Amino acid sequence: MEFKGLKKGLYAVYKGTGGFEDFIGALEAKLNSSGDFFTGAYVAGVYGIELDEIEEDILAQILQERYGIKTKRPLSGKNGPPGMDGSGEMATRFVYSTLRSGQKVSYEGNVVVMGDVNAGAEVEAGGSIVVMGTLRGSVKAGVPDNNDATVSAILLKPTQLRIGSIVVRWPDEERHIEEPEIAYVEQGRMYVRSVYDVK
Amino acid sequence: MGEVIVITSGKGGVGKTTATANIGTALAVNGKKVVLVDADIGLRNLDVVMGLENRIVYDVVDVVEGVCRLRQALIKDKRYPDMFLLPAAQTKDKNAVSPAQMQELCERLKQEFDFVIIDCPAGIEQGFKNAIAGADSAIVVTTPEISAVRDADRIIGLLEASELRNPKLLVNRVRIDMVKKGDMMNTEDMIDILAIDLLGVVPDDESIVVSTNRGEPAVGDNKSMAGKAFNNIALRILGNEVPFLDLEVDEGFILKLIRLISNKK
Repeated sequence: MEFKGLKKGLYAVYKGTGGFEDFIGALEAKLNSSGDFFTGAYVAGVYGIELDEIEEDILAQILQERYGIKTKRPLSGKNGPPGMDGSGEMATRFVYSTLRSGQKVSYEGNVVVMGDVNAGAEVEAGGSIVVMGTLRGSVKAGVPDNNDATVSAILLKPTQLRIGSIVVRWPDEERHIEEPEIAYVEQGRMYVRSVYDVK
Repeated sequence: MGEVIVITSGKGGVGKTTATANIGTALAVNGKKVVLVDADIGLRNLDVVMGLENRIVYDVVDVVEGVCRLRQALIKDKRYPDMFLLPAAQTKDKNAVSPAQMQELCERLKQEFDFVIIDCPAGIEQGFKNAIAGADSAIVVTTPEISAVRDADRIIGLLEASELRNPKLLVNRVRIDMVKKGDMMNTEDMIDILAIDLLGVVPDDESIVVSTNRGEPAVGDNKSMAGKAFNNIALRILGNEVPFLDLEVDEGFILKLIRLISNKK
């Protein structure tokens, strides 16, 4: 059992495979061990288990009465917190400038660059990388081995791109792409497509 | 209080010294009090390009070390109303001066001159750090080559890190015929990558070679396209709106033929 803090509130992420009782047990164990850390918190969803209405009632009651945690119904059945791909849940570093040749940003979470990443500049992230400009330099996402990370840019034309364990050299031919693109790894291969095509 | 402008590039051989000499001269011709400072200690060139080599007695290191007074080291260029050169030392190296000393020197020069133009050495080491230490603004020189643009990008990053924001771009040695054929980067490509304001575009011009060897800046030559471009750059520095030169050289086959025939007569 884990809690992910997101803008809308907390998400309880259940990692077990048991039923409702096992879920409640894990939840209580987690909350009991956290002291009053979660008191006054707000749970916006439950992820990793399907709950019916009665189970949600019981859960909401337990959270409210025993731990002072509010809930937002329905709790289950929705898509998990955005980016449950292994990078969306990480902390994010914002870089509010263009990265020029010789400049480097390393961060264990995600990196968002509000500018260009020029050739000769480097970005290294444990999670995903988003460039709100042109990506011309070399970037490594998902360092060291998170193949679920992604790299996206308004104009994606890096010298070299690495996601997790996959490294690719960018094709030399000129492409005329008007849409922002995202690069991701699926079954050991890297794919690039328009961000509008990604579900 | 004057303005200290450093002319820099990262890469060598793109025309920093030529730009310094010509922009400085053009500013002086336009009635400004100008001093050119050669910060390339150990590899001085600016004096040669200006044709003032034989008048050097003291240099910038002598000034900084207190061997002479600032006045004594300044060489007056008699061809122009108010232009001076502070030459670099040739027998020392970049470590002979510190950034703090350069800063102090610039402060002193600023009191007396409208423009202090510093010719920065190539590279990003001590010499670069010295040259930019006292500068108020920077001009980044590049040529339409990937390598030069890459270095310019690096330099812009280093300038920004040293609080020298909004440097201006000078694209040197452009050959319009090659740009048209797609064999040379065009200015838009460079501005797209570097994302800084364009100060001027200087065409590749044989007259620069001649003027450099003679020690006479090309801005004095009315027929020189490069000279005109440098003059326009100076005017822009002075706050004038000057349209960019039409570097059109493609005159078509017939015109070329006519020119060829008329030249032969």
